[in-house]
Amino acid sequence: MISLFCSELKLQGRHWVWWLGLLLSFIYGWFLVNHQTPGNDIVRSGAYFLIKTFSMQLLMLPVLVAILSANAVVRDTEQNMAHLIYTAASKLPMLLLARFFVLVLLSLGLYLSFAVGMASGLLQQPLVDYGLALSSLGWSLSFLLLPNLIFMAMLLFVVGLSTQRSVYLYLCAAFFFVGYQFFLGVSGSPMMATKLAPNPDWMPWFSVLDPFGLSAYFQTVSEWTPIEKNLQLPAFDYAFVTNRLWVLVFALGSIALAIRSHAKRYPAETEKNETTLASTLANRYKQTFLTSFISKIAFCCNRYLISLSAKVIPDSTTLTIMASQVRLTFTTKTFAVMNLGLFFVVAGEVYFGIAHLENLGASAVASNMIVINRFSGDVLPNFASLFILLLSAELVWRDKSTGFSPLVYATNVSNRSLFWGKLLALSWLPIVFISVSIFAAVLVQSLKNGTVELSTHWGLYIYIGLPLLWLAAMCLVVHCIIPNKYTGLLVSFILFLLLDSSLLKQVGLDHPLWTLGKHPAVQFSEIIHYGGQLDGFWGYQLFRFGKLLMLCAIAYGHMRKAEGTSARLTAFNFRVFVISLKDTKARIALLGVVVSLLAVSNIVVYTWYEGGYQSSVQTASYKAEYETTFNDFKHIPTLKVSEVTTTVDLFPQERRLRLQGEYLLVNKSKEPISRVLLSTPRTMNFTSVELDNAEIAEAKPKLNTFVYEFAQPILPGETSTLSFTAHYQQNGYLPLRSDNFLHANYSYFRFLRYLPWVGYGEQFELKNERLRQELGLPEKHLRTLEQDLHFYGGDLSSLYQWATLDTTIITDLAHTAIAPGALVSEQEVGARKMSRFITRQAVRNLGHIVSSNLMRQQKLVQGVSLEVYFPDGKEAYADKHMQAMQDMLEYGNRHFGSLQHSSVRLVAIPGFFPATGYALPQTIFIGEDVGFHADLHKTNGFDHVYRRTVHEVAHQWWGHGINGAATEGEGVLIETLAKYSEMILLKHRYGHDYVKRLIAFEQRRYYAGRGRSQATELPLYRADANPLIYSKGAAAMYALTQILGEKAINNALASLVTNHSYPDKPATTLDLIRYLSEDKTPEQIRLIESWFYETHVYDLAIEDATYSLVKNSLSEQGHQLNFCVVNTKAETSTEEISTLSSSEVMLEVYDENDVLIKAQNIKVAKHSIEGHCEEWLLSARPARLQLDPDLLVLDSNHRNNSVRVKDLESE
Amino acid sequence: MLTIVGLHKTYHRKKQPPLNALQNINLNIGKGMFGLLGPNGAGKSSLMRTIATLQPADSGKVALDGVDVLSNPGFMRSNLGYLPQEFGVYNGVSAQDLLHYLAKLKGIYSPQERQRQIDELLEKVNLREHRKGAVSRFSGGMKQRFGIAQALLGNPRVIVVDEPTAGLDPQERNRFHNLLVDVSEHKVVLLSTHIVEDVSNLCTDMAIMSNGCVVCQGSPQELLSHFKNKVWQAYIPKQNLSQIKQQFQVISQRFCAGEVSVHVLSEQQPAANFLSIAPDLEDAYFATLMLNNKHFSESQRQSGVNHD
Repeated sequence: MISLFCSELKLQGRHWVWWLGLLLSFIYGWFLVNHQTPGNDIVRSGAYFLIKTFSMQLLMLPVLVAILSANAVVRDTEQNMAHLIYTAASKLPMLLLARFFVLVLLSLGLYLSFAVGMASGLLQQPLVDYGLALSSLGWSLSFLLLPNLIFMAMLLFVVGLSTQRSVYLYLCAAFFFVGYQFFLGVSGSPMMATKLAPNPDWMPWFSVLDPFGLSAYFQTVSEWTPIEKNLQLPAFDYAFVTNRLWVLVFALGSIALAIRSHAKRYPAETEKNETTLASTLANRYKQTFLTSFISKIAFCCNRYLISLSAKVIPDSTTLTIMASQVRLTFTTKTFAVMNLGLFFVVAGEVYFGIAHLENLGASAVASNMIVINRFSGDVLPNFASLFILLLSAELVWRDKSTGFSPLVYATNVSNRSLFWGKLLALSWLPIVFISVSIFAAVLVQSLKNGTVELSTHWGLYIYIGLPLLWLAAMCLVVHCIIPNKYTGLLVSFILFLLLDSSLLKQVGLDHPLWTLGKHPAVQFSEIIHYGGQLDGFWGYQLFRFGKLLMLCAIAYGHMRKAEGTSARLTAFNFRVFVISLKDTKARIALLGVVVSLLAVSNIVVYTWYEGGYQSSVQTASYKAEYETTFNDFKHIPTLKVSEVTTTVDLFPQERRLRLQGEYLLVNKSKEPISRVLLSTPRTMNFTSVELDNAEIAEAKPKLNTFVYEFAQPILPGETSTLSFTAHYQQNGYLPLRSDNFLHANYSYFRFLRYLPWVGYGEQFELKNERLRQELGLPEKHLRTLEQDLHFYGGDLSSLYQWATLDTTIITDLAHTAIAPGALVSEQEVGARKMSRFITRQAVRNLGHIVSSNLMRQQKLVQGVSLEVYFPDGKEAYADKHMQAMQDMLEYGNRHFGSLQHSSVRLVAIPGFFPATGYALPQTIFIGEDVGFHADLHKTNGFDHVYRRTVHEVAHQWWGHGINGAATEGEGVLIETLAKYSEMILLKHRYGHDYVKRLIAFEQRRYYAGRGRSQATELPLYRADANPLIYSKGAAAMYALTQILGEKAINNALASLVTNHSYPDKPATTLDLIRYLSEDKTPEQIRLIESWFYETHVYDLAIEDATYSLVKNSLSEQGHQLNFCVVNTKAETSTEEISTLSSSEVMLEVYDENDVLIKAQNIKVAKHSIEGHCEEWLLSARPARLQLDPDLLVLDSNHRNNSVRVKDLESE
Repeated sequence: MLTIVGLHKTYHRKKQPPLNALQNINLNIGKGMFGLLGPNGAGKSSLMRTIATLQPADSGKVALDGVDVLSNPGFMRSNLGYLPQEFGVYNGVSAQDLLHYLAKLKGIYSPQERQRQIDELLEKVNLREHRKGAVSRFSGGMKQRFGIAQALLGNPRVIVVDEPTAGLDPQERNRFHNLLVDVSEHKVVLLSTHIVEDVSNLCTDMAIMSNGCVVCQGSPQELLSHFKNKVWQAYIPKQNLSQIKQQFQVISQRFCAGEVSVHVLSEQQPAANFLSIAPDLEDAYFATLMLNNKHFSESQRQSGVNHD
């Protein structure tokens, strides 16, 4: 066995790919440790950072093991050595076992090298504890990697043994890779971007079943503080140990069984070849009706393709080769497996996308938009690309690998025919993959009662098909030029990775020219269809295909793979090539050169000249330069914009605008101002900028920033006027900003994107700490709320950015224009429409314009015009949004204070917008997917349409009514209070239990966010992180409402609006706490303070709940209940201001019929994990205990709050 | 008429000295069967592949009816039927479909003409019954017959067959010979083999190759005439064999009923127990190789070059 192992080690380990992998792993490990930026409070040498970084690389495990498996398990068959080896091996199981363990060892070597690289990288870092770092890496290697590796090696080894073809190994690895990420997404793993698992009840199962054990690990650390994450290795809890054990036992058991079974079946297993699907099916499965039917279908397909190639395809060599290669490729098992896999993946994705639009059981209607966007962005392009990479190699090398090439090459078939025949054959692959995906999607769509509109699916053949066709052609060229199949595969895979991923961007090569015109995936929207970036799409495709034509001309001569006649053509003589333009190759190459040059000049104009392109490196250095150059302006008073008057001449069809505007600037400070800083947006072309009585004193055109100096300083209270004109042309050659979008059907601009900025702009500063350090900027230190209050003398109103807005929009006649304020005039000017909007008073200076051809619904409620702008055919959704707007308006007016605006507009926004809802002054944007595609007929799904609209309308009070002071906790005054409004409206519409469902979800979301966070949790009153201001804030406001009452909360909020609306002193969270605490008992105040000032986490659980019959003092039978309540998370408290060492939690006791017997508050220790035990004498026999039934405690696990009582008598 | 003049081909190999596969090959090949005899590694397949335009020559000329096919490979390919020593086929594709495919590649675009030729060839090679069977599952003999059928597609003027009978049973080999004789009447058929009997049975003209050179060319009768009265046979005990080998130029030996039948090349009677016999082609072939190897070794020794 040992000698077998050694010889296997020599055979498998001699491959250069492994040695290269070893080197690259080391470098990658070193690079990651030094170049990844950990979160705020997470240290590089800490356990969490190292284990998480290591864990992320485990996602690549299937691919790495697949590459090594090809050499370990299928090399005999692929190199025609199977019979020699199998007949020579007297102990076949031993040989296979040795191969398996060598495979494990070599894979382990790669990760070991990666870990060593990480450890070496740490030497460059100031270490806290090197021992801990090594322990963390050791822990990762032993308990995460090793079982996973054995599992993965087992899986691929078994696949290799049973299929004897490397292509199945790669397919299996690809499906596992994608499938596992889907699993992580569904399970709400912190490794993925998904917010939360759809169903919390699945979480324990995920932790145990996850074959890589990552769910269990991340579940364990999810409630740790950053300090704990830095210093502690994960404990071996039940879920983790169970998971690791089953993975190991299952893997080792399976491999033993597979080897035994394979050894018994020899030699049948070694005879496997790639045969046609039809004959395989026919030979194997004649016995059943179903399989016989399938085989007949397959036969028919085969025959049909033959007759098609014989009859329909004209007789020319190129088409003959195409037809033959198509038939040979399409009737293989590999191709069938690929399509079947793709079918199920797409169908699964689409089904999940429809069934799970949002959390809490909300589903989508099976509309084309939901369906197409679900698979067209990543699943279809990625899988199809992978398949094309594999199949192109098979197709190009088929003649050579089957030994058929001498027969073909001895005919007078030309290189041109061979090349174009194969290229045409490859071009069918995208068509088939897209068709299969559309078929799967349409099938699911039909099953879910969706309305299928095939016309919208056709676009996929172009927007996904063309890039795939390019990839196929590129692979063909690579395989023609490179004289080895596997090297060709490797090169095409590397090229694909470089050109189709963001890898080049990581090293600063982020201009699309570097990726040969990689274009973002085209999204479908019912409002703008495939529009938005299509001009860029065509420009880049032209560039890509032009380049390809040149390469094709070179590749021609290399078609006769590894033949001597091909070698002669490898010496490419450019001079001869150019002068012999009669040659087709030369003409094609020339055409390619011309097309490429045209396309490049096009791209250069549209990106650099018109698009103002900056690489990420340039952007960072410009930001750094801005900060260092103009830092002085940060600390001196500046003029404030008090009136904005703009006229925007919009040409949606041409995707351009003209702008003319004026600012009224006021000196609101107490000092005269003689200099003012002015920045203009980079993408806008400003033709004039004039400031009254001021000249440019310092100009930094590179930074689009200018210092103006007044002839006479502007005294306090005095004004000045800034006038400007500009124009802007948009194209799709660079990624479009979601708030800067011009399209024939829909345009949306925020002021920030097209108007000048007065004063120092903190938004222009560099945020990334690593980049700041590299560019020599000081570390950013933000002041705390208390420090800000002290700094500004308790009044932060100087940070207000409010102004009155007067906006005129001239747009297409068929469009409706929208801007903040009331519509004061609307008239036709020639063939165009001019609309003017003026705000009644100052609003937050978040001006914006919209021009669209959406439908409109309008209603006047309490003097406010409520308007909904929606896509045609979505009237039911518009009604629902209108109802929600009306409900919120009426409630807000009654309880918070009258709305100051004359109108509120809700506008559908295309799917490219990154948020599901967004509130600006008087305008609310709702994403077209969640806002207009939710399944309104699903009775048990949560009403997110209503919830979201209510929430966004509430921002007209919380955010645009009172504008919290620009300091810590501002997000609480905006989002937490909007969440409160949302909960109250939901309670009035759907009842208390409905809100409880939402709160349970928010509590889970808080814990999930906390697990992802790499910063120490701030108390709620200082918070701005989303899990805190949305989820913890919602839980806090819910608990306070339950205890203090809705009226008390509303009174406090009304006081906030009354006392802190613009231009009064802006509110802080301390004001909110103060108003909430007014007229409250000390106990209530402590409760309020504990929610806002403390960061306790709880996991309450009932332990030892037992029941027995006892005699009471009156000599009668009594029912005695004994129980303990523990808080297992008590030790993780981080901040404490309350003097109370315990909290009160409600405990309810139910009898057998689920009738409440007793409900009473009990005390739970906040600082100790020791249980609090009590003994209750009850009037009836208890059956079930329920702790915290109203979800008033922020409990990480509600599942253990309900237990059955153990009957001691019966035992 | 196929003419080969001064053909040279050298393979440059990694970590090994270059291999002179073809050295100054000069041949004139007319219609009929031309046999190319030689041991393994003599350069036969290299010559075949060069003639079939599958690899370029370093120097020299190959001309078909005066047209240089090395600079104009298309001309040769449009007149060529080629059956390589080893060839594969696409898995699961029937004989008929493969022939259709290759016929189209050879430019036979008329469906009727293609079908006619394919039917005729399948009949000729006795594969008509198996025309719908996958070639990848054919026996060795059937596959070779398929090979000759595809080589004959398009009625080529030159047919190059490289070791076609290797691995065939006697019956298949015989059937294959008949087939070659049939087709060689009006074509140039170049048969490469190391089986002497194939050449003696089939070829009107032949050449022997050794170490990349043509060491002998002519009809089999001419070759035999070189060795007339120079081949001697004796039956000796097995234990005397090594002594005989040291004393005489033994060209072949065969075991026969406990004794060894030894053929020796000699101008005079080597010993009393040796009788003069009429040489057969095998004797002539081995004798030629022996003489050539001797000459080759001496020239190597003199030049001090160690060829692989």
